[in-house]
Amino acid sequence: MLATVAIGILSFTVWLHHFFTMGSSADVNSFFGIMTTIIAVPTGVKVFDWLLTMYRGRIIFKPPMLYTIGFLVTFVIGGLSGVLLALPPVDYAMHNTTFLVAHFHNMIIPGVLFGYLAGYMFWFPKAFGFKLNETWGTRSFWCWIVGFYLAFMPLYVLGLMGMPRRMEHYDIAAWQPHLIVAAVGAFIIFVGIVCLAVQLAVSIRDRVKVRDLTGDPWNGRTLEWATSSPPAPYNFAVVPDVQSVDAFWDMKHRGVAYERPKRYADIALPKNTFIPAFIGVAAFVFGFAVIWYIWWLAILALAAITLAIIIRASDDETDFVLPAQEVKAIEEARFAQLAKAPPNEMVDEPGFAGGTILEGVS
Amino acid sequence: MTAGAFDTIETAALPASEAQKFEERAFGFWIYLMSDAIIFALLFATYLVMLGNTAGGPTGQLLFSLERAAAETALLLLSSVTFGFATVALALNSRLRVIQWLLVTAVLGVAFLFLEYGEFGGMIAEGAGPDRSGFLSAFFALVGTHGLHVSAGVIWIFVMIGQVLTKGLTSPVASRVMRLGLFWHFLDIIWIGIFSVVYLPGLT
Repeated sequence: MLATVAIGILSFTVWLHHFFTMGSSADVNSFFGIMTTIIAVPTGVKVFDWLLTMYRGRIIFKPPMLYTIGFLVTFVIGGLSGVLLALPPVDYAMHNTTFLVAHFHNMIIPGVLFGYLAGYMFWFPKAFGFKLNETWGTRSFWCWIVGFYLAFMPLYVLGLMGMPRRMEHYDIAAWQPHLIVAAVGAFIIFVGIVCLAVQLAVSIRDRVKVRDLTGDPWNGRTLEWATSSPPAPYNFAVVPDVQSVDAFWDMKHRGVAYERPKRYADIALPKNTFIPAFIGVAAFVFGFAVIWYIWWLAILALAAITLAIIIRASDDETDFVLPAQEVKAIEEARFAQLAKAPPNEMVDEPGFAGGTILEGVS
Repeated sequence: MTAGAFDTIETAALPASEAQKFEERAFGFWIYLMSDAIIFALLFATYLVMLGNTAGGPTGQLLFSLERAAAETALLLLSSVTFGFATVALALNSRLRVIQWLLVTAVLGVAFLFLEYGEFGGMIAEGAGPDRSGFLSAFFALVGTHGLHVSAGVIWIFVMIGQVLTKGLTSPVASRVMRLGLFWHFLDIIWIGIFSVVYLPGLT
């Protein structure tokens, strides 16, 4: 947590590392260069946090985990090349070469994309009620990671050889072998993207077979997995009593994860409204119109946004009450579904009493 | 038996009372105001940093008029007082008085905008628009953002007049008027900052 806070604060003092060669003074470049190298320290702390989280645990290589480990390894390499570029003199030499291109792809592909994909595969069943196909997920991962290294590692070498970025053509024979390797890598990444599309298509096709009946497909530790998949509109019929960091895990161990509440209460919920989505679309139109100087459209979009806000702000009935009876009916259906659900495929983890996962369901 | 995970808190999901709901909304509105204050803090800081960067163009001494700035300040401060009267009328549950004072507030706000519009138009006509220098970019960004807020506030006063007319002083309407009041007084405070950071030092 402290490391995250440190990164958050330090991140305000590194932005000029994008502009070392713009002609600012040596003092300015030194300051931002030093801050940029320092930010690697709390980042390293976080990497060790993640490693120690896994240490002595039993790691199960499902697609979200694969992407997470791929992130860890690849992100560290990208970070190290970033520390090199953080030195202004080095940046003067490497600036505008493919070394830089390799570096920032080495950060954003694991740091952002792999993170997105891990999260997408992890929480997809919670949001949509069925699991994503693991075979195609694993295939997409291997294509992505192999393709990534083949596509971007040669760019480091090419950058050191002096190849500028954004070239329309080149006539240096020495670059050719590296660029061919990079092209092969790009093709493998493309196959990885196709795998992702196939994974989604196959999962939607098999959605009945791969339904997440328990709401807990990963034998999870945190409370979102205590709800059904997808969750009821109110999330929890009664607020759970949290006694540990891994509250749901702890509840499963105590055998109280699936206890029926003694009674149900009415729940006040916000009504569904299309207004935020409408404002989003109108704001997009507004931005487009302003960028291209289409003034009539800008005025129209702004008026539409204002009107939508006025309509929303004049609405006295934005909430509704879900009666206890209906809450009870939804929860009863959930317990009936739980009773029918096959045991979780991940319950055989050591330290977890497999049979008790559904204890309390009667 | 182990303690049931779901036994202890049974009432937390009950519908919140109306008063509590409005209190929560007021709190949310305060958070919005504070984030808006951060935006203005950044614009003030930018203005102060850019103050000297006139690129050979006109300085504040040449452009600002103390009479106009004083009139703008008077209008806005007075409008805060009249909004205060609207709030008092709200507490007295007098629908007519609320509408009257909101109308007065809106007229004062429009008069302020009218003066500011004249000021901006005159500056741009003299070739002292936001594209003239870093100083003027920062000036228009800061004062213009405040002006946009006042414009939104005026629109909102008319929306609330409409709600008081059609719905009466129901508790949702009253709570909205109170939040609009927070917004209006907040803009007054920002203006005092603009008056003391932009106009007064700019003229001396």
